[in-house]
Amino acid sequence: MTTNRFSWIQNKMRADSSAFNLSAFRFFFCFFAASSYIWSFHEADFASSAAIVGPTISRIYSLDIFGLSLFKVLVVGAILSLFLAALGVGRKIFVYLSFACFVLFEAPISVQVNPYTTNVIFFVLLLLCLSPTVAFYSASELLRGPNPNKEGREDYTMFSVMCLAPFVFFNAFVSKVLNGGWSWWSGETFQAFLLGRQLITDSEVTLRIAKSDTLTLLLSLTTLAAESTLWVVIFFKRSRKFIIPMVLLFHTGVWFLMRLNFLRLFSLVYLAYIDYEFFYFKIRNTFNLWRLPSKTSSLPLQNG
Amino acid sequence: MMKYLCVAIVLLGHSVPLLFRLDIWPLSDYPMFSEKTDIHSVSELQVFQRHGNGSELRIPMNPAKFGNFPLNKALATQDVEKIKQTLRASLDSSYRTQFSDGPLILYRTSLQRESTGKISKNRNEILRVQL
Repeated sequence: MTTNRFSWIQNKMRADSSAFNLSAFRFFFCFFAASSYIWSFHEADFASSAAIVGPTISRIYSLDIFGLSLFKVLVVGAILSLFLAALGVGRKIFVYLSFACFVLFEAPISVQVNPYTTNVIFFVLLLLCLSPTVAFYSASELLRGPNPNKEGREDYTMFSVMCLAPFVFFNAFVSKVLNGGWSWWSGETFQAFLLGRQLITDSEVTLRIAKSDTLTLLLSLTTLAAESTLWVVIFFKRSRKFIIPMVLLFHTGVWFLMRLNFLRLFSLVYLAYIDYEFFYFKIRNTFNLWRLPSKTSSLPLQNG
Repeated sequence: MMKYLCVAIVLLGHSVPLLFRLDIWPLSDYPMFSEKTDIHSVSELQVFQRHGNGSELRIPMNPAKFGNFPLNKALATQDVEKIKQTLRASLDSSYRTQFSDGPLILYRTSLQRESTGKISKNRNEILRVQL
């Protein structure tokens, strides 16, 4: 019985272990993460980011390297290596480099301010570094489609990345029950949190919702239900189609009511739930792409 | 072996900090509101600018510069120059041109839930500075 159960889990783990899917995920994840850091680099004042980490680390961050501070060198390094890792240049070298740069510039700030959204990026990059098949396809090889010579090797990286978001959600659920007790569902803690965020955002909608006992009760129950059941998407492939859009809607709601942006970096993890092989063939068949040579060669036969 | 290591990292990386209540990046992943809060009262630091006609305008902190975090840290030092410096750096840049219009007032604003269920607002002035 136990063996059967274990093999059932193992089969589920194998189902998501295609090197093509993992490489496609690497491409999109690294590309969007790099783009997101470019956006922050443009928007945020990194001098103030460096200033909050304390005098010693701030002095190290300010070290001058060819006219740029060490902090900027690390951020630019992370952006460039993420782009190159997306393209699959140098196989895994740039995956390692982007992980190193990310940890060096992100860790000291995250320890002080926002560990909650960036630790998922840390885990994804670490898993990509450990994966044996992550760089089996470069960006140009991905365009050519799945190659049977590169498939077949078992790699549970994709499965592990898929586990990240449900784990974070489930831990949030356990944390609520451990710290707040089962009475967390009553809506009072949620109401207090909404009110606290309202003092920052000045949002009238947030205040109206926070004042309603019924709405806060409903939102508390929805939160607990969503957090305790997201693991379903790991094992049941069909459920991903409607659960993942709902989770993205949940994050949008959190941003709208509380101005907590989990969408920017955290949502990149949801790219792992896309079946890239399916979409590759779907797009290729729908638009008749990459088929011209075979069609041309079959013409004489049709005429004959 | 490596394939199982990936799974183990995710499992341990998320269960160990929860079991041992670790709050060290990158292990900590509890959403902030999971901790039981004082559900009857919440408070936050707010910055207003007082204009010549007596009106007050809220100036938000820039979320890209970590919101209230640097200002709370500067306030703990009680060094007025450091507070001014942080305000210049952390306030939303679109409001910077109006700094000369009047003093900035730092309030600790709280929302309280009364026994009747009604929510009342209370504001206490902490500091007044001219940038």
